[in-house]
Formats: sequence, structure tokens, C-alpha cells
Amino acid sequence: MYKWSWLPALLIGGNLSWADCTLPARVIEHFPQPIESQRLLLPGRAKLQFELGQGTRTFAHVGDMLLVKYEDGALLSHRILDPDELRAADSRLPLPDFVRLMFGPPIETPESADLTDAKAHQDAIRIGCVSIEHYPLEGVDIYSYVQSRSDNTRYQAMFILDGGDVHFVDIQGSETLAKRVVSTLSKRS
Amino acid sequence: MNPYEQEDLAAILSRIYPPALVARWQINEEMAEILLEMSSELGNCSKLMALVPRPLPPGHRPLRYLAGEARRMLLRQLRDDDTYLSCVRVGAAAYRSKFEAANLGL
Repeated sequence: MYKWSWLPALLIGGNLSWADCTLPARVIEHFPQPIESQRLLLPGRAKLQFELGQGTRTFAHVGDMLLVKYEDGALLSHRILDPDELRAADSRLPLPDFVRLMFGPPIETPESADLTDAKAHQDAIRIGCVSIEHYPLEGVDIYSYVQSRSDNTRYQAMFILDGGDVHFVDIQGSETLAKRVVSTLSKRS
Repeated sequence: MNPYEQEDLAAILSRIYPPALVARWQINEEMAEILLEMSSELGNCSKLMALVPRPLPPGHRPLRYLAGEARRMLLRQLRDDDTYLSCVRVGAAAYRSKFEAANLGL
């Protein structure tokens, strides 16, 4: 009688996990938490900022990228994405719209090559996917995904659409830090 | 890592990332490991990944477990595999910070 009693729990659990990685990205209401330690100010029209958290060890600026290494081995990076990094060089789609296409819902009449590229990114994001989320913040769209890597570390990437620019922030190796960064992401007054 | 392997690795990375970016990197063993880790995480980008021991040992150092000749063959064939390169390019943005950290020895 109890042979299949675990099945509903498995199905519900499976559905929840699957639902977290469906597209379009799940919209999460965002109420920024106060910043309590070092903050990183981002360039751009939206004047964004977030908390870097505790235990920063090394800051490095390499080309267009800022790298922050933490005492526990975690790594945070920030850069403004070059459009050619994500989509074909001959695409006419502005990069923020391409990111919207990656995270859905579909936008108006995209070229088929853009759709193919966006689909390829969606497939890559779904590997080891834990969650895909969309945080609207006072006119700024923030898309985020979390993956579990095969060595059991967490990886979180955020695409922050700031006017015509897309900030790319990623955090490897610390779920706590990733949550802190997301929760403190806000506009500076 | 010998100069031939460095050359093959630089050629692969230059087709994944902008060549000007790769030109300022000091190609090293850790970068090769990151490339294989990225290839492995992205799934079946190449049948050649079957050469890499699975499951990956803790700490992700798959190259260490390949004999010299096999390492050389793996890098050389990946370098010339267009299907593999277009496959890993999709996930490249998510690995760039690891390559930059490896370049700096962080």
C-alpha cells in the first residue's frame, strides 16, 4: 500500500524544480535590502549599486572586467557586455533586446538567426539549472540564473539591462554571496 | 604545459573569445583545465571529451590524468573541430572570469 506513497512528493518536488527553470523567467518582486559593508557602484544611467559582502581578499581590474576574489575562494566579476559576446556580430537586435529574447517572453519579429542564438543560450543556461528569475527594479530589468556545477559549486549570473548597456555580474562558489548581491542591488539616490 | 600545447590552446581560445583578449593572456595549465571543465559542463560538445576521465576527479584537473600524447591529440583535434567550437562559444561568457583569474594567478 505504501509502495508508491513517495511518488506524489517526487512529482511535486520535480515540478517545483522544473518550474524554477521555465521560460519566460519567473518574475520576483524585488525589495532591496540595505547595504551594510563595501559597496560596488556600477557605471551607467541607472546608477546601480550592490553590496560586495564580507571577506573580500583581492580586487583586480583586467581589461573591461573587475574581479573580486574572496577569502573562501569565491569569485565575483563585473563587466559591461560586448554585444558580440552573446549574439552574432551581424545581428541588428540591440543587446538588451537579445537578453530579453533569451529570458522570454518573445519580442516582436526577431530575425531567425537571433532566435537560434537565443535558443542556444537557453539550452546552455538549463544545464544544471537551479533557477531562472527576473527582477524588475524601477525601470531596470534584471535577469538571473543559478546553476549547480558538477563539482557541486553554485554559479549565478545576472544580466542587468541599463539603457543600451548590459551589465554582466557573475558569482562562483558562494551561494550566500550571490544572494547578498542580488538582495542589495539597488539604485543609489 | 609545452609550447605546442600552449599554441593549440591559444588557437582554441582565440576562436571562443576575442583574439585581442586571448593575446594578453599567459596561457597556462589551469586555463586548459578550465577549457575542459567548460566543455564538460556544456554537455556533448565533442565526442573527444570521451577521452577525459569521468567522473571528473575532485578539484577538476582532468588534464593531469591524460598521458602527454593524448593531451596533445585532444587539444589539436578540439582546435580543428568547428562543431565543438560553436558549441562551447555559447557558454563562454560564463567562464571568462575564471580564465581571467587563471591568467592573473588568483
